[in-house]
Amino acid sequence: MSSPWWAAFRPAEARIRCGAEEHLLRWADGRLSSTAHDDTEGELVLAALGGDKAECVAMLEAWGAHADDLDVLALGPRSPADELVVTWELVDQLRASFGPSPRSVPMRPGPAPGPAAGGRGTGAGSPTTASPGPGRGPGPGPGPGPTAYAAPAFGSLRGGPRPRARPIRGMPARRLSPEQERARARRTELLSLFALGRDFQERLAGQVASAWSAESPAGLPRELGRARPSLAAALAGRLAPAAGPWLGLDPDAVQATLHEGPGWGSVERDGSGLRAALPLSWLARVWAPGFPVVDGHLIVDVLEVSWPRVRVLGLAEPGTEAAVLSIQPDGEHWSRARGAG
Amino acid sequence: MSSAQAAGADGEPGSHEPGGTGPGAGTGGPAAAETYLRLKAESELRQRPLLSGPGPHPHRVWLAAAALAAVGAVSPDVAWQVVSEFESAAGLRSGNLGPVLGSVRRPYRAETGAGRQRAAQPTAVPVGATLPLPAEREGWYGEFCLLSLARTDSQAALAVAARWAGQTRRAAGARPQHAPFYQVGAVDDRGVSYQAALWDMGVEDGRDWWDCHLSLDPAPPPGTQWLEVGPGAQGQRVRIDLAAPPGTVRVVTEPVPPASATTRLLDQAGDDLLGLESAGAGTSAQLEGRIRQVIADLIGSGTLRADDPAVLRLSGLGWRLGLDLGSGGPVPARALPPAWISLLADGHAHDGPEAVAPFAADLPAIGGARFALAGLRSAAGGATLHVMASGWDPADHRWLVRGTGPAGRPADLSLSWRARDSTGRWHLVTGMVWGSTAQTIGMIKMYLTPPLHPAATALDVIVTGPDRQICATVPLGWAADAPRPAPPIPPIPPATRPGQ
Repeated sequence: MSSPWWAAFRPAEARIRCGAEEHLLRWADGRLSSTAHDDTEGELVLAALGGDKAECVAMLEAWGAHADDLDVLALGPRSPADELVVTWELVDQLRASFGPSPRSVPMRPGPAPGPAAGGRGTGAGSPTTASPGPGRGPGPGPGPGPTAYAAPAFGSLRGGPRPRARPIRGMPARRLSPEQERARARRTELLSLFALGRDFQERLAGQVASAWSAESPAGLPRELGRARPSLAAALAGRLAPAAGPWLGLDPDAVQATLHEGPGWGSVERDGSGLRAALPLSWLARVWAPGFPVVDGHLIVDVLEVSWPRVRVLGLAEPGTEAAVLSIQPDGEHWSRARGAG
Repeated sequence: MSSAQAAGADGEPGSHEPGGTGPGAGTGGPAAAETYLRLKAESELRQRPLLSGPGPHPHRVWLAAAALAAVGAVSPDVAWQVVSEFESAAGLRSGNLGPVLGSVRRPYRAETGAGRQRAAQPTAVPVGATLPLPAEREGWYGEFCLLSLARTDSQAALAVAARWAGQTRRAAGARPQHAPFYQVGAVDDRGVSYQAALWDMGVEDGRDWWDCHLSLDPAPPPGTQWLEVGPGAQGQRVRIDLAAPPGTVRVVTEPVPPASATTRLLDQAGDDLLGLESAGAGTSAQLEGRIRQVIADLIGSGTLRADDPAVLRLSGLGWRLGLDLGSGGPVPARALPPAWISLLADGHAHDGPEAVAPFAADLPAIGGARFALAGLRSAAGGATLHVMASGWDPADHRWLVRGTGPAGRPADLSLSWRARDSTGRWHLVTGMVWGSTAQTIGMIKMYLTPPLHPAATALDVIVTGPDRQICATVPLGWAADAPRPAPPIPPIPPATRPGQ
């Protein structure tokens, strides 16, 4: 029995304003939860009956609603260098520009109770997502930043200034059809999930990839049907930025297809390019946790997770036999575990 | 799913074509085409594009989507979905979030069958008369050469060639830059009056002739015997006999071998190339890269085989024009359509007669559409053919040149138009202008290149659909009072201008 898809992820946390308070959302073991709401299902029932829906609860509901949403893969990040410009301010602007809708709830970043510290970002707009490590609770941790909560991990973008979201102004005033209203609400909802930060974007992508690669109750592979092109592109779009540099190739030279048979697939040279066939689960189990390439090996499968060590199959070269490696987190990256094969 | 490399005929930086299926493909299917399009989007997204959105400079993904949707490789809905996702993804990375939510609106272009309407039967009668107009404020007087009247049950319009015919006094100012405009009306044999309005004159560029339409509101009802249009100068009127027997027009419909949408697209690309080449040496180079993209997209998506005859003959045409279309090379003349051979020989002719031909021809239905031919004006550099259409919207006719049409819909490849005059010279439609108002919405001006041969006495107007072809042979009986270009007016010395 292989490890669950989420076994190699460390927990992630983000603070959001919930009513007049500031609450912590925590993702761990494949689930998103709110430490301040221990009966979210009950609150959802109350909300359905006309009661107020807490922001935290709305976020949990949104997470579930997008757990198999292909838009997550279409819009979400492809590589560590691929950053989304989504902030809470922007989400608020979007909501304000369209006015209230049945599914959107007023949710905005909370006040700035403490000084910005820790986290991966600094200064205004810095994230407060934290990765406390497996088994750690939210704890006191660093306080939220002064202006934004759970924004994406910022960093320099190829030496240039990082793009900032331009204010949304003058959105079309034409009346939307009910279908368009739902699509707009769903898109805004997804952006609010993205605004939780990079850690959550990757985990949500893993969730979606897992949902589409999961077996049906009958034990058969899920029928991909019309989603196959989207999923193939999702795989290719994330493999290419990793496998290209692995071999010193232009990412466009990497051809990826979905492997739907037994085993992990194949990775072979194809002239001056690379041809790979990997299962969709590679996205959830390898790409999303952040170790598609470790120490010169293209990781193709996860065998076992015993945190923080993960036993994987990796290729030193295309067309060679996959070797069993033991890897572990090393700061922001992953590396071969000392004393392991 | 095959994942071999494509031919790399794209002509863009980088030799790899993401998602290509390689030479010899052609059995892809919609899923393969969609996958190709999505992989193209992934490749473009890695370039971190800053998008200005669809419009005059559409992005690469939209161009690929337009090509694949035009030939039916992907549905308009899928094309829209991929493009909107790409634009949203690019917006999320650049900070331009307009497309992120704007894409919830399903655009007109994604609506299957948009623009289609039930085809009413248009009919036309030749007129062939000139209505002189009173002098206007500038001292210049114009004239309307009424070519033919086309109408359906709900609309009617006269095809008109308008010009400034002269000036009343030497003291008049410079010739106006705009078309001559004079309010006229019409009355029929029952005493019913009609409003007449001039439309579709085009830009004010001081040209010699304006090809335009004089709409009649309401449309004359069935049974109307004649109309009088006027008054013009000195109260002159032109009487139009609506009950006149049809002229000597021969219309032949014959089946043609079924041609795939990709074949029609590439043949249309060849026509566009030759049309641009005919308009001016070197101008076709702007299409070179675009056609390379189209061919690469069709082959890469598995929609078309690299050795498809349509690819080879288009590449052969490019070779003759000195263009590199990415695949193929010289092909024998017999492999090229006669129209292309003719254009290669006469494309730069500038010998067309200055005259109008007031013919009329009602065509049988083709491709769900109906047409009536409503006259032509010939000039040294080309000719303008007037057509009333019903059930067909060519608004995206030049999508290949511009990348997309004004409405952003995939090109309508259901019909193609060519003409051949009685001397054997072929003419391509290098542009279409669709009536701009509700009164003239069905009226199309088709610009034919190269010009009619000076010795031509008849013209075959050939409309080709997926399975049949209509050839209407219309007489080029140049109107008796055939217009001649206005004689040049010598410049007036400033000292003689009034008031000076």
